[in-house]
Amino acid sequence: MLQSIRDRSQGWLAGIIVFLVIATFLLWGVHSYLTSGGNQPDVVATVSGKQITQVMLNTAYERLRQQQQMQLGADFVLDQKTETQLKKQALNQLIMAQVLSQAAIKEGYRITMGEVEGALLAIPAFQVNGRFSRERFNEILNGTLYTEKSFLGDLQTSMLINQVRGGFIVSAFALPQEVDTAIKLINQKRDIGYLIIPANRFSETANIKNDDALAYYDQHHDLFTTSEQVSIDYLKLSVPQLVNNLHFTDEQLTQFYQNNLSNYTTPQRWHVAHILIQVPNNATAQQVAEAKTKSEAIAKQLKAGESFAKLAKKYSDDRLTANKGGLLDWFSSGMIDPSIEKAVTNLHVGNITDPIRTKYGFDIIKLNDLQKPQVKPLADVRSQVTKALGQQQAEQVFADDSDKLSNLTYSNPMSLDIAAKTLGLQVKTSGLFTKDGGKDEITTNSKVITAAFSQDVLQGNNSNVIELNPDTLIVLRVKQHMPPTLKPFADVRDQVMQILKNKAAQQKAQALGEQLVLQLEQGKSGQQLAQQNGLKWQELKAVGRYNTQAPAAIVTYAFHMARSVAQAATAASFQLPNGDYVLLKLIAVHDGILNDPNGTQKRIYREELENTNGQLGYALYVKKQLAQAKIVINNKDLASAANQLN
Amino acid sequence: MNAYTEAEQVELLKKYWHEYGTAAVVGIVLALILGFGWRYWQQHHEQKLAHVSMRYEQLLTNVVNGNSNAVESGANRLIERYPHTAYTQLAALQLARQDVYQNKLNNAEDKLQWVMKHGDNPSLREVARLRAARVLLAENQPQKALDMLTKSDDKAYQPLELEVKGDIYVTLGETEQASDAYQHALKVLPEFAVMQPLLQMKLDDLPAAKTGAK
Repeated sequence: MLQSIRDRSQGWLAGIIVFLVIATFLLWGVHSYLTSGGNQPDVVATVSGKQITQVMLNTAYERLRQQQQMQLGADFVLDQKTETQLKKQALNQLIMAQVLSQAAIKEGYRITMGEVEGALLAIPAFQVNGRFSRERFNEILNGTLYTEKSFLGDLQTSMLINQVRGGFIVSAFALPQEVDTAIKLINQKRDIGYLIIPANRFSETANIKNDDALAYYDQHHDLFTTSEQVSIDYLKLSVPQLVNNLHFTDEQLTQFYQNNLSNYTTPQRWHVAHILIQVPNNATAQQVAEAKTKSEAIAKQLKAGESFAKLAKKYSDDRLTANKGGLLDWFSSGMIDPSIEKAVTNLHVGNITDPIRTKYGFDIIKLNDLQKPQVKPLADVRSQVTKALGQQQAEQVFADDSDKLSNLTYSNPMSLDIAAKTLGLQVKTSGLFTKDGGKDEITTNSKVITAAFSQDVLQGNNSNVIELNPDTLIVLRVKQHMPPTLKPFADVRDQVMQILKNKAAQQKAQALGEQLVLQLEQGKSGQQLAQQNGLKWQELKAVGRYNTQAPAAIVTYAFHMARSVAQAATAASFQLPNGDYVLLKLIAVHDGILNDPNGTQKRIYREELENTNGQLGYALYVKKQLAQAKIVINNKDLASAANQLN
Repeated sequence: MNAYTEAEQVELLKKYWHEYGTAAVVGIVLALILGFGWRYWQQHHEQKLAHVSMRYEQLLTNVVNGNSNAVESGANRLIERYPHTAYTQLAALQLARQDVYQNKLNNAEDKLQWVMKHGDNPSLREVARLRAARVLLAENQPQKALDMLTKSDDKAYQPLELEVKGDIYVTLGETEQASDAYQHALKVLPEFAVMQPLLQMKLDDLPAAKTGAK
């Protein structure tokens, strides 16, 4: 009995184990089984189990860098700080995309590959003459470090995320009363009265004792201490500088010119006309056959002597060229569909091909004109040749010299002279500069500043070789070092007196202001108070939020003041940034009105409200997803990226 | 390992097969059925979502073109056939928007209530709740609107919720509570959110609880 239970349970056990093994294969698929055991890539971060690898980060960073460079142009400087910042930004983007797309999938949002392809065809950047161009597409992908697969993947992700985002924003509405409230508030007008008590009114009367000044000085040494400064000697090795030092004989130039003749040759160019019978991308076999037959019929007519231009006009599906006899622009090798180029290479001027299958359909090509490759004479390209040869040689010299620079400055740490002499460089000297940097290109560079103020260099050693950019290296040493020093009291006494005078004056202005506000609240008129104190009371009616008649700080403050219950005036006093003191009275509040006979403005308000409401809803959604995702960043330097997200 | 001769091993295998063979076969068959069944169901589910996604995109096109009849019939079809996908909830939200602009606040409220009841998606459920409360307020039912907000279970949308609460308190004439709600809302706005100047304006516009400056 017991034995049979044992046997049976083992039988079940065997069954269950087999079940589990098979289930694993079925559910996760052989694919993931095979890939998960492979080489572990360098993982920078994981988002709820999904990995972000170093390669992904590098690509994203490189794209960001290109973008910035394009936007900022010459202003773009890639120093250590910018690089770290861009890397963080790139990681943020990757994490954000991962978090949001995971959330979207989990919530049941889907974008099919069909929808992705549809969107791709509609992207204007990939279109030539209003049609999707694969050449243009590939060109742009190459320039932006995408493969077709990775681009479509990213496009799918962003469409997915956008669908969720759109869900919040497109469905948002604003109720009529909400629109009315917004109109009333945004266009609200307030009547105000104010007077300004200038602080400098009291600065002459302020009497500061020397002891007080000294006490202030003693308590605020940091205000009267000069920053630490250094000046540096440095050696600069750069490719452009080396190019300038190189001179070449005619033989050298001629030889280089001969060796690189292809660079100085205008390539062969063709001028062709074509008749295209289009075949759509997803054409059936029958459609292809029909197009082929049609194309062959045209070829026959051409052979019978019909005019190419006439037939192009009549039949060609390339409507842009059909009316011009089918003529395309001149092109050289690599600029056109490879199958067409191959056919054209064997043609003589005036020849016509049989129909060629291209990815657009069937094409008949006529070679109208041909330009043989032309070699430009040396005299015409002399400066180009000199420059190219110079660059080539200078780069070689640069590579050798940079090693020498590194060795010589390292083995003679107390001087730059030996390296300068050996390499034929000049020791240059900068002016004094602080840790905030100096004025010229060298002393504003953050790598230079860091090196100049490093412990090792301040002790009198040469710095390591610093790469300012791939073409320029420098080595520096400190020439003069001025540690932070406290200026003697005698030198700054006047400055201290002025500070204290201003403070005293501001306090007096404030005391007066506070006194006046009480009187105002007790019912005295602003006019009266101003007169008594030799000040000017000003009243403005119907002040809008963006009024410029009164100082902006006063207008802003007036709009922050609570309106009183009985529409009676309320009063306040406060200090302006420059130390002057303001006495302010809110006299009345008027609801905003819109002069809007045909309702267009109201519509704009409504759309704006919809948009802010939808956007905020989505922002809160994003914040929630970020908080719920398990984000682990392995790279310590970039770990603060996650904090920036929240 | 050589304790058994070959014949003995064969004998042993036969014995094992006799004892466990049926169970193993049953196990394999069961696993295959369940495995393929699961895969089939998954595939079916994915196809459904892709289909509804497409339908929803069509609906959006109709929204953009202002074709309100098509929006209505499209959304209702989704609600009938696929009540539990996120897309259907979005379609219902679109319908509610359309109702608001056709001044059918009652209908809008119904749609939003439907999303709150059928939504498997907590975010959209919460969005619907907030919008329903605003509609109730517009229908001059501030107390009902307030009750609806109190039932909220998702803290993520607190800034939006607090602003609506503030609006409700203003209608109820409870200035102090309105002021608290608006101030709280300003405090919990996420840093990277779009600017909300109107919220500050609403706060600034409240009458002072006592006379004098705030």
